Amino acid sequence: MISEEELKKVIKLYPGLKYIQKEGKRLLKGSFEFCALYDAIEDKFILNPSIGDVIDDRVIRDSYEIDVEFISKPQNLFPEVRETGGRIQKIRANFNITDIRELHVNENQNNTICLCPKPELFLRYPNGLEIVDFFNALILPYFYGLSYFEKHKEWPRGSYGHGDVGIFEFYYDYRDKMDINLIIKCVESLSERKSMEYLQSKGKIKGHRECICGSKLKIKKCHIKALEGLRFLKEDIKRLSVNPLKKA
Amino acid sequence: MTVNEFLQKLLKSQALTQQMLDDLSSYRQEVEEFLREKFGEEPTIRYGGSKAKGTMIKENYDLDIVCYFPRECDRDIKDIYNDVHKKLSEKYFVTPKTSALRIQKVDNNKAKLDYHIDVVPGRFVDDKKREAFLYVAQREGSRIKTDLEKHIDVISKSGCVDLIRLGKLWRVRNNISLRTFLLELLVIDCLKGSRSKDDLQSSFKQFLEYLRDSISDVRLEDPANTNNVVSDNWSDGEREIISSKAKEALDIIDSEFDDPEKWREIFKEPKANKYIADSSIVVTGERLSKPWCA
Repeated sequence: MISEEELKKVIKLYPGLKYIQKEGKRLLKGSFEFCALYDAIEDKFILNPSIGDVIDDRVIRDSYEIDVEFISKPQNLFPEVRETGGRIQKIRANFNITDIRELHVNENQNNTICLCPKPELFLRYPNGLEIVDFFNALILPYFYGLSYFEKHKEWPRGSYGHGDVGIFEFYYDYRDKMDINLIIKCVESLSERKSMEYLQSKGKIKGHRECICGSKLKIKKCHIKALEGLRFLKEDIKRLSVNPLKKA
Repeated sequence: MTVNEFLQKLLKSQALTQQMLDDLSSYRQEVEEFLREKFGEEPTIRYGGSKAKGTMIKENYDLDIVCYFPRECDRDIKDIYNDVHKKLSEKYFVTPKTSALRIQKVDNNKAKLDYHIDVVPGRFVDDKKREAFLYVAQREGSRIKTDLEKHIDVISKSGCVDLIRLGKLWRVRNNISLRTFLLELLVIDCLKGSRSKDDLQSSFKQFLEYLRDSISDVRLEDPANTNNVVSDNWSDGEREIISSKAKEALDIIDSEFDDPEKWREIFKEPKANKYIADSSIVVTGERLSKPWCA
């Protein structure tokens, strides 16, 4: 249940959004307007910066039509976010992007936006979710990133690869923060047969094996960071008393 | 954040974005297609300059395209230069430089000032297609021998690419007039034999000290042609200004060598914090993620 206080905080920051309860759905819906600056050196976002007349190309002022849907099902602990104004499709067309996953939209899941790898939500919000934090730390960087992408054809903080590649890259980044539950979440998020095959294989995963992304290239030449993450995950599973691979 | 981390991030922030790289590639293609239309398959056309050497920075970059004709072509180097100039003028606004032709796109009879493309006409010395003669426009009848492959090799394998990029950024941000080729050779000369080029903090300080103390009588030869002393056209006044700029920078960092804020100051890197107002919300890196897709 979302408290009125939490909703007020979000709407105060993003006044173009409205809270709607309709046909059993609970949504924050409307224009997501923002003015933000991302500083790559300090790795920080500043929402509503004081810029005056300063011209700084890091400042992005933009607006997207979005739905943020709160779903009360055990498998949907976190809101689903969708862009509804057709802007993503426009960007896709402008850049001739064949695979919409490049813009982090999951067509198989009702066009929801993948703000971060699924296990990361559990890492970030182990004790539940403060909606305003979800907006500021995930939704804002995504849409800022999308506007940046529109201009520069790349994501300001980078992005994770699709599917299992992204899970392994994420594992590589956060290995030191992983506990048994997160390791299980990572394994549960995997969908490629090859990933399971590699995790269950004996010995070190060799870099010349085929990449999990399906490119047919050597994994060390294709997704080296994912290879390192895969190796770490395999090592960590070996050390566990519970084997998440059986469950998955 | 340590100074080395700051410098690494500064360099990372100066990497050209994918859009910039794609634009460069399409401009190169456009210029190449135009030159091919005019001169057929005769010339060798390729990237030169910082694109080929890996020393580009986002804040200030040009595109260099060499257009070298084979040794057996029937024109001398001055004719080649003038011929390429004439043809390029049919489509572009052209400014002749020492050995290059700077072109800009023309839009509604005005030159578009997005960035420069320098086309460098030349003629290969022999059939090996390495060394080439370039025309020197300021000196009547003069030509100069050069070797682009050698330049690329010397600079890209010097272990100094990051320091050269830092040097270029320092030059741009401090409004210092110093030709890129000279800057590259200065960095390499200064760090000759150094085993700690990866230590950007110490190496860049060493470079500043070198500029402050030794620039007045430094002599630099073109690695591809020892008869070409590239520092010869460098006036005492220009050397003096660079030396005093280096001294200013050293005065700032010498007091607190390990303070990234001092380094930020010499690179004139704007601080994000100056934009924080009472109503601002700051989200720092440890709370941020990167988008993914299942």
